[in-house]
Amino acid sequence: MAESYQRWRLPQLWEMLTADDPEHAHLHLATLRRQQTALETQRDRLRLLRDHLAEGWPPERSGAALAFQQRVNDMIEAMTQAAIGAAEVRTNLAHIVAALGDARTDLAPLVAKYESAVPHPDPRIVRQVQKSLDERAREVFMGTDKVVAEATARLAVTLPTYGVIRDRVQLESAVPAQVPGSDPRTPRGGDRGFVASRVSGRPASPAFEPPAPIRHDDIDEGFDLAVDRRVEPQISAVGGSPLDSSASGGFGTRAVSAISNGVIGGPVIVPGQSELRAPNVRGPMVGMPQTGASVMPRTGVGGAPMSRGAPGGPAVRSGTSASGGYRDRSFEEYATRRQASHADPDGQWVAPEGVAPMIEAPKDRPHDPGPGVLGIDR
Amino acid sequence: MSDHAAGFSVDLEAVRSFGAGLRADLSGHLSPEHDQILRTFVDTPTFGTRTASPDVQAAATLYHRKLIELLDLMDAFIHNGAVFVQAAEEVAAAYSHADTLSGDQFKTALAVASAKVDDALWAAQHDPRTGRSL
Repeated sequence: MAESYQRWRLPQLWEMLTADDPEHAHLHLATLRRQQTALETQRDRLRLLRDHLAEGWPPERSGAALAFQQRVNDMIEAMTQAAIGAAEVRTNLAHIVAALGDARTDLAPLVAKYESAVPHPDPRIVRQVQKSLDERAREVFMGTDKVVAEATARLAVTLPTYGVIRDRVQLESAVPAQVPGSDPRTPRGGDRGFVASRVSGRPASPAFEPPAPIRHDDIDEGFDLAVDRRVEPQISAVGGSPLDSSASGGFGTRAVSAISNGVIGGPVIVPGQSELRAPNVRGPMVGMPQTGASVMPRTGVGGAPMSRGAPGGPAVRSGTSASGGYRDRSFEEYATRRQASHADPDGQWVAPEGVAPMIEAPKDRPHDPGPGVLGIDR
Repeated sequence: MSDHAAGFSVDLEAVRSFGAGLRADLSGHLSPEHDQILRTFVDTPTFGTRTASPDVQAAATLYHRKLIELLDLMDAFIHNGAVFVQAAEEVAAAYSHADTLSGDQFKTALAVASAKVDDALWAAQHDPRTGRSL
């Protein structure tokens, strides 16, 4: 199952990549090339030696020469396959190294943004921007994994099964009789030190020590600032770092306009007064109660701004309104009533009890509708 | 098929030349190259040392296995090359005492050569007085 990297954030993901020195990978690539060249060179030299040997000791005329040449041919063939295998391993390693290099290139600017987000005064905005960057870093990693997986499938190169010659005889009895002049008990070894490599061992098996995952309660499942990921690029597109308040308007202003997009009636974030919304609520929210004055301009017909008193907004005074209309004292009472009803939308209309009514119902009067005009006597 | 039945004489110089040439190639080229290559692979980590990616880990593990296979092959080429060098000497020595050498006799010569190379290998890796590994 593919790793989603939810347990790590950008700094840890960056650490995974930067722990490896790219020079090391390139050294491996160069060494594989060197190995391929060494094998091809030795194979070509062995072919020449074999051909010269065949001239003085023709295999078609000697069983021993034929057996010898078959052994030499086996080695030449194995060298050819090994050289091809080294080349294939190198090619696919190069793809893997390139994918990791691309991931490093993709993550570097995200890391720079991540670090530049730290000085912002509102930690919730900082965290929100960082979460967005975390998510993009994870996407980069998952994309890299796909490329690496494909290259790994091709890395499973079939190399020749060619082993060390282990022909054995009972040297004490058989050899002197069958091979005149050959005495295996006479000085052995000689100057064949080239057989023994001066470098011992093999590359150590890879061990993986990924950075510790973030704590479970740090995983991005908690409260979520109302930033829609779709608008995050707009933040950057305005200019400079998303938290670069030195730019025109500053981050706060731009963030407000961006954040307000896509959230109808949702909480509105003003600089220094970020609103939280419930977890797992993504996308537009309709009808969510507002707790602050909207900073989004409301437009009327033709795009003209509409003036409207809002709960909690500035007190409405009698006189001339912004739109030029006259307001008498009754408007003030109306505004007060309306404020009260918004403050408690579910409350019942409460009327005082036990108080003499200010308006009395008219007494019943006899009514005798006269002929002709209805209601003329009223 | 024996050489005698085929009715030809072996050019021993060609056999000795083969052994000498191959020895020069192995000691002057392939063996030192292999040393350098092995040293680089042993001393140089590859990739994914701190990765949490299962795909990268699988790639690093498979790459390591392929490296080992390639290095084992290089070892085998050098070892068997040395066996061929020794076998050429055995063959030359055998022909200097007889006119013929059958295929079976060559196999024996090859086995002798292999044993001698193993002895040489062991001698190069162990202290001759104590027998301990160097």
